[in-house]
Amino acid sequence: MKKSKQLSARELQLLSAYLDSELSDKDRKRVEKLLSDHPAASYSLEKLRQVKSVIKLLPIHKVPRNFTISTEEVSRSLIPGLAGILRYASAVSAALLAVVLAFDFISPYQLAAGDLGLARSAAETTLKEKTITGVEEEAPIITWHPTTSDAGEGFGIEGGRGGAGDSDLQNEMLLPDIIITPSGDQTEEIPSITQEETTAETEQLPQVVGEQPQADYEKSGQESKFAEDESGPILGIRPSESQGIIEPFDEISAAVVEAPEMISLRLIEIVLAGSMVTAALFAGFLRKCKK
Amino acid sequence: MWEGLGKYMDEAVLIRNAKNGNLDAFNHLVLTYQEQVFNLAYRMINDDMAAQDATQNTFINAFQHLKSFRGGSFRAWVLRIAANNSYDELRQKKRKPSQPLTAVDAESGEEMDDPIWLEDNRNLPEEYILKKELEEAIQCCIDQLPNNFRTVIILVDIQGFGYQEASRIAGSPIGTIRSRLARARLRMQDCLQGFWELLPEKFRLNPGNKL
Repeated sequence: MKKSKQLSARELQLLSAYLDSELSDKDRKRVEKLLSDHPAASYSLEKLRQVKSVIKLLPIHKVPRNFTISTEEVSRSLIPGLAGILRYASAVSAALLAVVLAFDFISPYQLAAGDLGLARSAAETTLKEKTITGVEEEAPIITWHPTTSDAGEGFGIEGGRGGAGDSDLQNEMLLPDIIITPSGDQTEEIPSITQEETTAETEQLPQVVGEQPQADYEKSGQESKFAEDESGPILGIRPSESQGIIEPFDEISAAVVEAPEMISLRLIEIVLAGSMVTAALFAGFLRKCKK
Repeated sequence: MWEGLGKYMDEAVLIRNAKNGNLDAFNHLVLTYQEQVFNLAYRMINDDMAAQDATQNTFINAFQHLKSFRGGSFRAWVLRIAANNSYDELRQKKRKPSQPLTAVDAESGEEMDDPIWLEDNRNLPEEYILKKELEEAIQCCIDQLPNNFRTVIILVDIQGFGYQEASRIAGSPIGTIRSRLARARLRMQDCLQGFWELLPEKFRLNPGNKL
């Protein structure tokens, strides 16, 4: 027989189960061997037996009343369940409302930025297409010729000479709304000419603008070469389908475009807030009813 | 044997009728199991009123979800619902601990002693008093156990279920039941050392040697 030995948790488990006769034959034999070899195991088993006996002293209480149920109790018990569902619905509505509000808060900036980016990329695409096919289609390229005092600083295809040498054209040129440099890095907006002025001068434009690029191209060589060497800035291209008129694009028009989205967002917010409040009120009401 | 078989056949008929909405049939089942359900809830919560609530809710829930009972031991199924309801009551009790109403002396404004301490036990037999104190001591130790240990020790050591049925009620494998029970007994052993003088002589291993 071995001297005292610290029993492992597994051995204590086996002893506890041995006490309840809940062991397989293999485990029972293992425990019996342990009991014969280690007095500590016998002592632990005896203690466990005592604990079990003491716990068994707790009396079984008689029921204070019968718990038979009635149809009223069954139907009444549905109320807390419904109240619970409404509480969850209210919580879910609140969470969704928070998400929509967060989206609502962030989206105006993203939309505006996105629209500006779109405008820029569209203009760049048009510029590339026109510069490639411009000669065949005779696409009007806008060059910068500041002639009036409010035109601000300008630089043209002729490398900053601007309209100094084109005095006969200066009164017929339109200021572009978007100026795109060849690198595409800068996009400036210049206070645009009113729609009436633009329309009034439209008839003269194709002739003026149509001639000028030819002359410019002849001076600077190949058009594509010009676009690649980035020596002089291109201000923009008037799309031929819009009869040479560039529509003004600004943030105000972007806001007008996104208005329906904002309205639907508002609608979602109102519906969510309404459902949240209604569900919470009904849940509270049902809770009171139960009490 | 035939009596037992008849009982189970009766139970199967009662369950089938109850599933079809027969409340009387279900109430027969309630009368059969209400004592076990109430005692499980009472030992779990250690509060008579809360245990009654848990018991009542258990039977209402059982009736409402009777369609989901797929056979097997109806007792284990009901006791499992009872254990879950008891957990809910315990959680609720933890969230909103109830304050015992203490009477305040009108003249001095001081709190008066709780009537339970003012109970006159002089005419009660000593054996009864000791038994009551021992019960409170054991229950106090049970209350200190984690919920899942508590369930297992109540089911096996108080209600006398085997490991198999205890595992069905607790919804845990037999190995887990065995392990939890052993650990619960060791914790109970430690806790009961504080009450060893209350224990009857026959439950003391050696005089002077605490449990």
